[in-house]
Amino acid sequence: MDAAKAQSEKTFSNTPRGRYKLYDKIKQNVSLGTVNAVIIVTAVLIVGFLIYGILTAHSQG
Amino acid sequence: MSKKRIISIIMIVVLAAGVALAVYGATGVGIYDNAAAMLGGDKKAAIGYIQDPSSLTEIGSMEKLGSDKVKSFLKGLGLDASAVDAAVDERVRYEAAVANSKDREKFLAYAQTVDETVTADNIGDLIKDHDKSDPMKKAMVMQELGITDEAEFDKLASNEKLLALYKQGLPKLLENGRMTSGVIYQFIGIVLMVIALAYFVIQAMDIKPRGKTRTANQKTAKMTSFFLNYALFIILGLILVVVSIIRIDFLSMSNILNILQNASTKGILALGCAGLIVLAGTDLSIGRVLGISAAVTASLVQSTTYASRMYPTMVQPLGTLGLLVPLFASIAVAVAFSLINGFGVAKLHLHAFIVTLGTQLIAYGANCLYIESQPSGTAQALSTFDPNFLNIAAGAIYLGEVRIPLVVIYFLVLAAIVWVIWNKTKLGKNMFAVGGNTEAAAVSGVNVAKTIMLVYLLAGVLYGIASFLEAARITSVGANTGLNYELDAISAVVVGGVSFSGGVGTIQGVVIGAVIMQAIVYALQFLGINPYIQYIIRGLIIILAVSIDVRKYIVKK
Repeated sequence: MDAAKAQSEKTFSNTPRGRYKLYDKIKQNVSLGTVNAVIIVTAVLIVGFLIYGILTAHSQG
Repeated sequence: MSKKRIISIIMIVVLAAGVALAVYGATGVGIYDNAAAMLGGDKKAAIGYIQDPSSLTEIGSMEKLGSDKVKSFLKGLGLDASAVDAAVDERVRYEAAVANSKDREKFLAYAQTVDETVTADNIGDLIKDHDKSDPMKKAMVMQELGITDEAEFDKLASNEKLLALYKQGLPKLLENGRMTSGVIYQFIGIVLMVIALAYFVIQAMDIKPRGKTRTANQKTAKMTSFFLNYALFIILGLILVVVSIIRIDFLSMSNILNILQNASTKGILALGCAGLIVLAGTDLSIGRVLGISAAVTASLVQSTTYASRMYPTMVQPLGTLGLLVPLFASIAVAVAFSLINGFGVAKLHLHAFIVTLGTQLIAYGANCLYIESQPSGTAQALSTFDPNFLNIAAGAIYLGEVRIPLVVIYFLVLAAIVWVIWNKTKLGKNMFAVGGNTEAAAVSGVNVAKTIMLVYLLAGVLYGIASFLEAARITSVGANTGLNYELDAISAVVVGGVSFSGGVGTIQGVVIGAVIMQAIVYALQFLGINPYIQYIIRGLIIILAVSIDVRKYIVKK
């Protein structure tokens, strides 16, 4: 049993994703509310920069 | 078939009709007819002129149409008649002089006055090989026209005056066409699009309670979730709507084709990169690998009449088969870099971010060294390509009245091939298995390392093809070619719905993502927004796309 478990752990540790589960780490450390806040702030920033860009634009084309 | 499904099908038809009408209107249904009337009913020439103003510089167009038609076309735009007559007559004289320079006797007589060895055996080749930029041919044409000032001749050769006149009249032509009926069509099209999209939004939000009544809080939560999950598309749609309102000609067919043409090479890069992201990896070396592959391609396709070419001893003119050599060379270089990345990830278990960052720098350094190794000893961009090669990117086919650039067709064909690999082959299924859950794939008997290497190999092949096409499209390859292309490719992939968590993504999503991202870039440029602000907006779009991806992952699990 122990040998099988050791073999299994060895297999998993040698797979790339087994060592870098980035999204799982984010899930463990970041709340849904924080992610929602990031989305909202980013969206507002995009709209803000778009409006600013249009107001200060030099038309082309 | 349920009532709801029938309504959905009707709404899809309404949406398609709306898009078609809006594009048709923006293009200005009257534009082609007006232009064709001015050209004596030659609608194809009119389409060519409007969609590609530079086509007026082609001698063939003038010869084919005849100077009278071109004169009436330009005068019909309200341009000064005497200026039009002078510019067209001057151009006709130039074309005649260029044609005369192919005359054997005239060529021989001239060659004897300069330091050129001409015999009965080589005169044919000499005449054929002397193009307009050749100093000898240039001198012959200048002599025939009685022009001594080279700058004045260059202006004439580039058709500067005629093109300037045409561009001066083009806005009026577009405006006339649009005013007649285009606005009405566009208005109806936008109304239909809004109706259909509103229906789909309501369906997706599921606002109406079905079966049981939802509380106000549940409805609010559902709506909030919808807006957060679809924030990216709402914003991208908003940008496109705003641009279409501010610049009514944004949705014109020529602009749409420009967007598709520019999206094509980056789309091919995105197709390669998408597989790596499905594996929960990434590739930061795309741009620089494209740079060196394009440089290798460029060095092998320089015109044999160009004195400062990279390989002066390479004399054979490139035919279709000859172009396979630079294509395979480009693919070989890109595959080599891609396999290094793949080996690092699959065998050394390094993070793709680190490996590809390393190869990015290696590719850049190698590219600089390669370009610096030119016989001239300078690091000038590789340019002056064989016309057969340039035609690969500049060529187009006509589908009725619509001019479809060849690169768009290459992109769609490659997308179809990659779709088959992803969805119908063992490699595709293994790729999703490894990306979704490497451990499960490994214990299920999938050879993880082999799968990763093959996906990197596929990406390398696609990068090589994209590099080849990009060299033909941009017509000059320097040390900075490919800079930041990885960001365009990755953002197209992420916007297209491929998840960084791995194991999720579709080819159709990647194609749409590439087109949408290019449309946004084009729209921001079209509005004349400060380029630095454009960078900020594009960066924020990537952050938004990844944040939404993370949100979906957190909510799902």
